[in-house]
Parts: sequence; C-alpha cells; structure tokens
Amino acid sequence: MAVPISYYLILGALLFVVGVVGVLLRRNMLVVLGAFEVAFTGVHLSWVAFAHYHGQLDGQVVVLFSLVVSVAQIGVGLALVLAFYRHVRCVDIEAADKLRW
Amino acid sequence: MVVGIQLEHMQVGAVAVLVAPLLSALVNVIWGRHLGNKAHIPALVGMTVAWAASIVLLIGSIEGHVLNMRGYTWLALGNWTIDLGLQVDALTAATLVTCTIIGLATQVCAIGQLRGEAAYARYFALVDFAAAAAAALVLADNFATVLVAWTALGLCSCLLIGFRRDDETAVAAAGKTAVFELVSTALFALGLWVLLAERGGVSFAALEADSSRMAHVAPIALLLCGAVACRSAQFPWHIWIADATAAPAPASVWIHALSGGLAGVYILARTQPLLAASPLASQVLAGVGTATALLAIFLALVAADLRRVLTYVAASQFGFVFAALGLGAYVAGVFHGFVLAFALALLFLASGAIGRAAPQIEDVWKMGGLGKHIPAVFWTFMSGALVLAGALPVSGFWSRNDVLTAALDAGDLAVWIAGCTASLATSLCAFRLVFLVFWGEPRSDAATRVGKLPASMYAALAILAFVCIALGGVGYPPGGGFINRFLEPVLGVFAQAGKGGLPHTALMAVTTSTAILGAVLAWALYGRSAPDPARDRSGSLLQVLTAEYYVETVYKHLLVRPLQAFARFLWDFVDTVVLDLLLVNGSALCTRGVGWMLGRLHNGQVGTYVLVAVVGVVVALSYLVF
Repeated sequence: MAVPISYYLILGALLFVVGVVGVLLRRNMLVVLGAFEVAFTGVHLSWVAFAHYHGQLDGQVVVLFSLVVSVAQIGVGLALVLAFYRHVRCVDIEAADKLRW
Repeated sequence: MVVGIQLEHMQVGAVAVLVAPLLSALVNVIWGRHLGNKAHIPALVGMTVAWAASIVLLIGSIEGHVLNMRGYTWLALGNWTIDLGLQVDALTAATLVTCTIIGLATQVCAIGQLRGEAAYARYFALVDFAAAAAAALVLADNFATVLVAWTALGLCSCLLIGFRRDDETAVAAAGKTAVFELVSTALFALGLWVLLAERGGVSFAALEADSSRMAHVAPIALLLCGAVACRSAQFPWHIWIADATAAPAPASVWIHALSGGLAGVYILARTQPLLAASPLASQVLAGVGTATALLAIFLALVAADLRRVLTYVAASQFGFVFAALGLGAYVAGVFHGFVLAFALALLFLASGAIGRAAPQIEDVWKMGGLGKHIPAVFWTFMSGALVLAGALPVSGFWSRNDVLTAALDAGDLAVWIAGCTASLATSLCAFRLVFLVFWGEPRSDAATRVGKLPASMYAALAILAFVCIALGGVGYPPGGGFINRFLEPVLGVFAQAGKGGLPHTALMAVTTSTAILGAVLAWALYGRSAPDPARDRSGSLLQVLTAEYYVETVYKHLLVRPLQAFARFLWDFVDTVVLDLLLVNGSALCTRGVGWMLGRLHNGQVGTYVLVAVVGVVVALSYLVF
C-alpha cells in the first residue's frame, strides 16, 4: 500500500528544520555545510513527493539539477573553509568575524 | 535765424550724443592702460562729438522740431508693455547742452588736474560713462530707461568718490554714498512699479493725459521726489555729501551738480504732470526743498574744507530748485537748475585748481592771499561766487529772482522768507570763501608756495565763467525771457504768475539787496584784517551745525544700531545656534548616531545573518500565506 504524501511532506519539513537549526546553532563550519545539505534534502524530498503525487517527472528532473547545484555549492564552501583554515588554523564559524563594522 | 536743422539731423544727433561718450569710455576701458597719459584724447573726442550733437539738437528744438524715435517693445507681459525709445524736445535739448558743455569743461580741466595720477584712464572712462548715462536719462521717453540711467549715474558717483582706492576714507565715503544711491534707486524703482501696476506702461507720453485720473498719483509722485531728494542730498539725506569730497575735484561736478542735481531736476520737470496732479507731493517737495535751502547753507557757513562748503551750497541751492518745482514754477526751477549746474561746475573746478596750485591745504583757514598768485582762478571763482550770490546782472540773479518771485506769486510767504534768508546766507557763504581763500595775507606756509597751473584748467574755467555770466540773458525780462518762451511749451505756464502783487522791480531790488548785504556781511566778518577762525568754531549753535543737526546721530540710533543688533542676532542666534549647531552639526550627529546603531547589526557573525534571513523569510511567508 502506498504511503500517503503527507508523510513525505512532514519528513521533508522535519529535515529542513533540522538543517536550518543546525546551520544556526552549530559552530563548526563543516557541520554547518552538512546541515545545509540536510535542509536541501528536505526540500528535495518534498519536491520528489509532489512529483510522484502528480504523476509527473518534472519535479524529479529539477531535483537532479538542484542536486548538481548543491554539490557545486558544497565544493565552493569546502574550498572557502579550507582557505579559512589555512589562515586561522581553526574552522570555528564565530572566528570568522573580520567583516564587521 | 534759421539754420535748417531737419528731423533727420536730430535723429543722428540724438544717437551721437548717446553713443559717442559710451564709445570713448569703452576705448579707455579696453586700451586705457596703453594710452597712459594720452587717455584724455578719446574722452575729449567723445565729449566734443556729444557737445556738437547736443548743439544740433538745441538748434533743432529752437526751430520748433520735436523728435520722437520709436524704439522697440522691450517687454510685453499681459497688460504691461514697456516700450523703449528716444525723444528730444526743448527741455531735453537744453539739459543736454548744459550737460555736455559742463562735461567737456570738466574733462578739459581733468587733463591738468589728474596729470600723473596712476589711474588716469580710469577717471576719463568713468566720466565718459557718466556722460553717456546722463544722455540716456535725458533722451529717454520712458521711466524704465530713466531708472537704468539713474542707477548708472549713481554707480558712477560711487566709483568716482572711491576713485583713489588706496585711500581708506575715500573707500568708506564711496560705501556710504552707495547706501544712499541704493535708497534712491529703490525709491525710484518702487515708484516705477506702482506706475506700471496702475497704467500698464511707463512712457512719458501718456502721463500728460492720464495723471489727473490716476488713483495712486500721490504715492508715485512722492516716491519719485524721494528718489531725487535722496540723490540730491536734500534734508534729511544730506549726510552723504560731507565725505564725498574724497573724489577728484572735477568729479565733484558730476557728483553734486549733474548726477546729484540737474538729473533730478530734469526728472521732476519731465514728470511734472504727476507733480501737478498731486498737491501733497508738491507740498512735500516744496517743504523739503525750502528746509534744505536753509539748513544746508548754514552748514556751509561753518565748514572749513573748501569743497565741503561747495557741496553744502550745492545741496542748498538745489533745495531752491525743488522748492520752485514744488510750487509749480517749473520753468523757473529748471532755469535755476541750469544756472546752478554751470556755477557749481565752475566753483568745483576752481577749487580743484586751488588744490592743484597749493596742494595739501583743504582748510580755508589755512589759505588766504591766493588771489595774487593765481589771479585767473580768482576772477573765475569770483564770477561763480557772484552767480551763487545772485547779484545783478549775472545769470544767478535772474534765475534766483524767478524762483523767489514764484514763491511770492504762489502765496507761500514762508517759502519766500526762507528763500530770501537762504539767499542772504548763500551770498555770505560765497563771499566768505572769496575773502578767506583769495584775500588778505597767507595764513599758512603752504599758502605762500603756490605753483603754476596747466593751461587746460584755465581753459575750462574760462568757458564756464563765460557761460555763468552770460546765461542770465536768456532769463531777461523776468517771467518772459527766452527761457520761458523756449520751455513753456513743454513745462507749461506757471499758473500763479503775477499774482504776488509786487512789481518786478521791487522783487529784483529785494533779490539783489540780499546778495549785496551778504557780500557786505562777509567783508565785515572775513574781509577786514585777519579773521579769527576760533570765532567760527565755538558756541552751542555752531556745535549743532558741526554735527550736521545730529541727523547722523539720529540715523545711528534709529537705523544703524537696530540693524546692527538685528545682524548680531542673526549671527549669534540664527547662524551660530540654528544653522551651525542645530542644522549642520545636528544633522551630522544624527546621521552618525543612526549609523552607529545600524552598524551594530553588521557584526560579522554568519549565524546572525542567517538568523535574520530565516526570520525574514518566515515573516514574509506568513504574511503571504495568512
């Protein structure tokens, strides 16, 4: 028997919230990037669920594109973290406060 | 005698009289530096052309021509139109000839007077410009041109008074004059404004028919009279002339006799329909003129500086003229104005000659005995003094006599008595100068070392002395002379002529006896033995006179002090507190404070930014959804 769409949506929303909370609360840059990906996954899950629900493939195709973009994003983010680490020898996000008033 | 001047000749003449001095002024402005001590050549050429052209205009007017050159419409604004054009009638021609003869004589005299002066060319450029302005004022057929020319003349006065610009007193005097010139121009402009609002045009031609039906004729006439009185140093505006002696002597002729005298007389005579339609303005003008005639001559009696005496005499005598205009005797007033312009020009030039021959003495009490050294100056000064005194048979007698007769004919006994008293005092004053300057023994070392004078100065003095003596002929017989026949078509016949009841001979006897009495009195006070300067400088009445009736003090307390207090308030409160502290520094402080507060948000923490973004998204979404 098919799982109702609301389950997927609730799971997607939970994943998104977990991701956002992770981004907001964690101090390790690598964990923050991971949390980003969790939030992304929540969104992708909802998308795929809707696509399946409507019986169309469009949503799934978009999710594939979006995955590529988020992977590229992680690549850039990791490069930034690496560059930051080389300068200050830590990956604490609160240490990166030079660009303030 | 018919020369055969046609209207076409007069058109050329009218333009030449205007343009020739302007061009020569321009030549000196542009090339004056290179001309050096030859700067007088273009000036003389311009003035001579103007003089010849004005003679053409005079002959044309005598032959009965009236020239009206329509110019163009300068401004058409709704119901308002300002047409510019030229007109030449008898009054114009006579005034122009007076101005150009005097202008030529002053320029000739200035060649000798100012030789060696650093700004030789500047002087000639200024006087030529003044001559062009005077020509524009006299030739204009509308108030708008007159206003511009009037302002230009005032500007020239200021610039000539401040001619020696290294001299601080001269610059201060020029500044003081500028205030009065501005007041005069402002009054004139206000009058013009009221006239424009009332009539929708400013040409003279419509005045004749309109002025008695105009609703605001009194304000217009009063404003014009005020403008003229201010420029002509009438009481209580007489205080600017005391310092005006800083100008070079030939320039004083322009400042006091032409710009601050004849020009005003011309304007009032030209606008006489306004005066005639407003009894109030006429009375005020007559009152102010009479008061000045009396008050200024007393100031002249105690002044020690030769040219200052002459400036007060000028103010006093033009007071006579304004009294005559106020009484309605326009021809008599204008005639006296012409005579005065010549006499004052002569006396100012003579005083300049004295200053050139015996430099460094301006105080008449330090002069004395100059007649032996410079007899030609003595004789020409004497003829000027005779004209001022109004002795038979020189021109001053005929013109003064006309004015006094008019006062009696108008039934204004007060004006007549004041006029006779002022005549007596004028005669006393004129001969006081003659005796103190030329008579007796030298009263200082400087007065014994008298130098030679350039021929040009003698030439100028001779021309003016001749005109001064001879001009009386046009006023003979009184009330019916050539001047009356010539000007009455323009200015109208004096309505009250002959109503005084006294025969002409009796009046002439009174006029000439005041002159003789004044001369005798002067002889008794200053001519015999060595006069005592101390007697002239003590006593409480004399204190009032040396303080110029405390008018300056009154101005100081009524106008200057409150204005200074107001200016101080503007500085101390409005500028320092409101502008600087509140607006300039206040807005800077405000911006900085807001910037500081907003800057706290920008703390560099990625977490904060993300939080703000999330909150923003949540708020925006909830707004869209709910």
